[in-house]
Amino acid sequence: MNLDAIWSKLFGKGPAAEKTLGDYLSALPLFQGLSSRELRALEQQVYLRRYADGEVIFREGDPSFGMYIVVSGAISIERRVPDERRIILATLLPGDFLGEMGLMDDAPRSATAVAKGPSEAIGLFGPELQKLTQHHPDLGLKIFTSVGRSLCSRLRRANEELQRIPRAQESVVRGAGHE
Amino acid sequence: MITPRQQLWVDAGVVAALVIMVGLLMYGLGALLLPFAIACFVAYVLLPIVEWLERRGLTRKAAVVALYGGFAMALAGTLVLIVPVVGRELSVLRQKLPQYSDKAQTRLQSLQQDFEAKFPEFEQANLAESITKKATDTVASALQQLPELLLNLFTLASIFVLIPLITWYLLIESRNIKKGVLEAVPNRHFESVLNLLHRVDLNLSNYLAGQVAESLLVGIMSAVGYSLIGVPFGMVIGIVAGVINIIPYVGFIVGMVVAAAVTVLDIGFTITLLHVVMVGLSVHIVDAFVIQPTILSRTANLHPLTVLMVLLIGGHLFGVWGVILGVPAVGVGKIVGQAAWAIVSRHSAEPA
Repeated sequence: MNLDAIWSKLFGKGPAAEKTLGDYLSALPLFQGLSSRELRALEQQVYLRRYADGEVIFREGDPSFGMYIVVSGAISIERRVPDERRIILATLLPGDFLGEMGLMDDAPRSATAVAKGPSEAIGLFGPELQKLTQHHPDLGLKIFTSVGRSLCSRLRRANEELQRIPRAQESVVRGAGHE
Repeated sequence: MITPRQQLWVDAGVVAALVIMVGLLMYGLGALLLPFAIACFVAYVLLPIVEWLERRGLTRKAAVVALYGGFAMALAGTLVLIVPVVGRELSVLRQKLPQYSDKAQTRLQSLQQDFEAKFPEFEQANLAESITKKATDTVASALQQLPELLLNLFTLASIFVLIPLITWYLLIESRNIKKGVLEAVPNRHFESVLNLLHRVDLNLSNYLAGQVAESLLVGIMSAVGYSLIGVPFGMVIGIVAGVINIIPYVGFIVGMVVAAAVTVLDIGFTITLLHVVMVGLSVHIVDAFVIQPTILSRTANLHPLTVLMVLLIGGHLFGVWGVILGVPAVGVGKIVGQAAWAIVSRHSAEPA
């Protein structure tokens, strides 16, 4: 965060920003189909954050208040395993989003998010989304539907993975029996 | 390599230094900050209206212009409607004033006669002399203070120009100011600070709504009560008591004193005076033991007993400001304390 950015935000002076939040939002698949008025309303409620390489976006166990959408760079989702090692669950690229469970419940973060290289993400948080839904119910519904769809597809993928595990175990057991 | 726990100490030091700097700045600038503080409060109260207008399709600037325009029209309308009524009331008062003055003089004379009968050692001449001396001193002192008074008037005028001007910019730029401040927050504390701001905002807006509801109830109870027992200008006295009730306890006292004074001057020392005291005390009892603990404790999320303690201690330590700002300040302090404790606990649980 440099002084010019603060100055620009506070008094509207200083170097002009290259890209507005609205530009970022309209390019995201999550918000495709929103009208320009809806995008303007959403723009007022989100925050663009910039991260250095290796900077933590949120930590496993932190209270969760909302979700982030990757705008540039990459963000890895990591979990601590019992022997103090960290495993990378996924690497998210522009357009992907993370922490969406924080919008749905108050449970602590289930994983740690770390920036891989200089990255940017847009943050959308529970109280703002609540306000947005109260004042623009249609917009709130569209956002919740998008996030819900994504959660469903992730749950489906997780189910498929789970189904594969017993089969893999079965084939391991069968293989051992043949030996 | 700095550990998260060391980082927490560094951050705590930075926050402490910032708080001290802001505190010193506020102490140093003192009264100069008053228009800014009032403008912040006014903008905070008016912001929901601007946002409501924005949702109806107006741009931010157009919404603020509409608000100012509406306020100017409402002010003009009120003046047009109220000036004739106040004028009539004043002419009634002007007609009654000699009567009130005569009554007051008669009462004072009878009091003086009683006093002289009981304490003959006090000579009337001395009393008159001391009154004259006091009056002369007062006039001389007022003349001496005239330049200061004019300067104060200038400050007052500048406040009335500055406050709407600062409020205007705050209303237009509030979103950018909030985002600008949040941009300066390090990523590691961003979510916690954002959540803290939401909770503080919710707490303050609830408190403000509670205060308005309380003032309304006290105003209605006083107006109805004084009117029912036949106090002249009972409605007006009730409205004044309600407005002043934004300072807890002062509203009912002002209402009761004014109602008692008007009753004595208009009707005399009759049973109505006792009724005035009873109405005033009833309003106060209902306010202090039912409305305040219910509304204030709910809106500030504090126990009713804590609210009463804060009102007492705040009033004792900081006077009127302590009573007005004590409860919201303690409510905000509680939220900030809880957030700080949550951060410390989280970091303590992590390996060093």
